[in-house]
Amino acid sequence: MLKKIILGLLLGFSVANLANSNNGLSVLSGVGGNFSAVDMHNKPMQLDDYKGKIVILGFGYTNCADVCPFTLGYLKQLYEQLPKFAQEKLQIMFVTVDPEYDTPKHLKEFVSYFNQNFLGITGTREQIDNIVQLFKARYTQIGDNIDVENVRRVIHKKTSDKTEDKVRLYSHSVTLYLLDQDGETRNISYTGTPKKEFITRILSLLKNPIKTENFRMKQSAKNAKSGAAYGEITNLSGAEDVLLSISSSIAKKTQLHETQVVDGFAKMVHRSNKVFAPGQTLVLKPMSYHIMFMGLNKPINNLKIVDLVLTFKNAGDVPISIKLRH
Amino acid sequence: MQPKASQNINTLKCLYLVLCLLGLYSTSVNALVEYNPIQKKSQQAKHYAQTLNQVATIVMGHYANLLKNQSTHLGNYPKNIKNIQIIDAKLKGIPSQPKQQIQTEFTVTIQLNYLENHTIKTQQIQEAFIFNLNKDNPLVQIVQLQQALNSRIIGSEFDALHYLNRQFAYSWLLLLDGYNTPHSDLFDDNSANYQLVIGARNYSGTVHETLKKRTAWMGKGAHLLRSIKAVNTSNNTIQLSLIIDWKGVSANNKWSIAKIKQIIEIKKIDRGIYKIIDVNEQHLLPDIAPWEKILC
Repeated sequence: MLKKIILGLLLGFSVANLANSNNGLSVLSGVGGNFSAVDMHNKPMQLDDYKGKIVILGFGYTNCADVCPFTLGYLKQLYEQLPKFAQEKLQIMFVTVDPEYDTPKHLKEFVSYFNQNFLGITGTREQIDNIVQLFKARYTQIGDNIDVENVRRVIHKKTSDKTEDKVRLYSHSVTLYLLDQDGETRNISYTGTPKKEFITRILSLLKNPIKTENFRMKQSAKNAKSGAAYGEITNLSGAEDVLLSISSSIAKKTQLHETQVVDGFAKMVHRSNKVFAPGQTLVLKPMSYHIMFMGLNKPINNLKIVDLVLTFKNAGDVPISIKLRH
Repeated sequence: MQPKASQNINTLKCLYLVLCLLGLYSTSVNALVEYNPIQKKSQQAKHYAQTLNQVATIVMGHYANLLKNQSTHLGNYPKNIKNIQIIDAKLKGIPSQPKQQIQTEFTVTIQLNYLENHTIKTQQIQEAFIFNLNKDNPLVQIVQLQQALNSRIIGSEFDALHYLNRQFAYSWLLLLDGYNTPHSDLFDDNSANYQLVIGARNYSGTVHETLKKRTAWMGKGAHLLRSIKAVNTSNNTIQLSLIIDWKGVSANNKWSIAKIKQIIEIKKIDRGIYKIIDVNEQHLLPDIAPWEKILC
C-alpha cells in the first residue's frame, strides 16, 4: 500500500515537473518581422494580418526544378498529418524570389496544386528583398534567359507573351521558418526535419492547447436525475495532459464516464485522471466516453445554456458553454 | 495483546510516513507553482555572464597595464614584457547567487615575450586570479602556479592595445546587461550615434537613447562575447567588430536567443581612454542548424 502511495506521489511529481518544462522553442531575436507584400489573390497583405495563426514561411519560385516542389510536397504531407484544429490555426506561406515571373495568378496555380490553403506571396522586387533580409535568408540568380521548354516545372504558365517564355533560375535558402501566434520566429526547419518532430513543434506553440467542439446534450426525461453531454476534446499541445476534474453548477457531480458492454450488459465506469496524449482527440458519444451529470438540480429541458469547466493538469481550466435547443 | 500493539505502532508509522510524504509533495507542488523556469534560466544566464564579463574586464586590464609598464604587479613578471598571448583560461567557483561571498577563480595560461640583453626571450606562466566580486576592489590575489620556459615567440599583435580592446568589449557587455562598470564614463558621450536593427524594428539615437529602447526588448538577458576583431581605421580610431551571443527573456516574456553583430567605432583620446563614436547593431540568424545557410 505504502509502495503504491510513494509511486503515485513520485508519478505526480514527475508530471508536475513536466508541466513546468520549457518547450525548447526560443524566440530567434531579430529573425523575421512584419512585412508588406501581395498575396496570390492579388491583394495587399501584411504578416501582422496573420497574428493569431502559426505560420510556416519558406522561400522559392515556381520555375524551381528541384527543392521547391519537394518542399511544398513535404509541407502538404505535414499539413495533412495535423489535427483539424491545428490546421485551422496554421498558415503556410510560400514567398517567391522571382516576383517578376511569379504573378499572383501563376503563383496561385502553383501553390494550390499542393494545397488550397497554402498562400503564395509575391510583390515588388523591393518587397521581396525586404522579406528575404528580415528572415536572414538568401537567394542568387544562377541563370538568365533560359528557354522555358528546358525548365522542368510543376505548373506551366499560360502566357501569350513570347518574352515570358524565357525564365531566370535562382538558388535560394531552403529554411522553413516557424512563427508563433504573435508573429515571432521560434524555430527553423527544413525538409529533412522528421515530420513528427515538426508537428510536435507546431502543436507546442498553440496558445489554447485544449480544443473542445461540437458539444451537445442529450434530452432527458422530465424528472430525470442525470444527464449526459457529448462532443470532442483535443489536446493540441506537444505534451501529455491529464483531465483532472469536471465541474458544473447544474448537478451535484459531473464526471467523465465510459460505457462498457460486458456480457451484453452496458455499465458506466468513471474515468478519473484521463490522460490525453499530444494531438489526441477524444470523441464523446453515446455508448462510449461522455460527460455524466449526476444529481441534476433542474431538469435539463428547463435550461437554455449549460456551463461546465474541464480542469486539466497542464492547460488548467477549459470552460465549455453548451446551448440547448428544445 | 502484544501483536495488536505492534500492529497499531506499524499503522501509526505508516500514517506518519504518508503524512510526511504528503507534506513533502504539497511543498514541492507549491514550489512548482511559484517556480518560473524562464525567469530562473534568465537569472542564471545573467549571473554567469556578469561574473565572466566582470572577471574578463579586470584580467584584460591587468595584461594591458603589464604591457604598458603601468602595473603594480610588475615585480612578479619578467622585465620589459613586449607581448602576451592567452593560450588557455578556465573560470571556476561561480557563486549560484549574486551576493554569495565565495571566491571565484580565473586560471589563465599565458605565453609572453620579453626583452633581456637585447634578446627576445619567452616564458609560459600559469596564474590564478582570485576574485571576490562583492568587494569594491574585487581582485583579491594573483597566484602564479607554474612557470616554464618556452621557445615559441609570439606575434607583435598581442600588445597593450589588444588587451585594451578586449577590456573595452567586456566592459561594454556589462553595460548592455545593465551593470555599472568601472568604465561607464566611457559611454556617457551624447554625441555618439547608436543604430539598432532587430528584425523590422529600427532604432537610432545617442548611445543612451538607443540603450533605453533596447532594454525594453533585451533587458532581461545576458551577453557573452563570441569573437572580436579590431581594425585601426585611422591614427586614433579603432573599429571593433563584435559577435555576441545573447540569451534572455523577450518583452513578451518568452525565452529568446540572439546572435548579435556590433560594429563599434571608438577613438583613443588619452592614455588608453576611449570615446565611442558610433555603434551599429544587427541581429543575425543564430547558429542553430548546420544546414541553415545552404542554398538550393
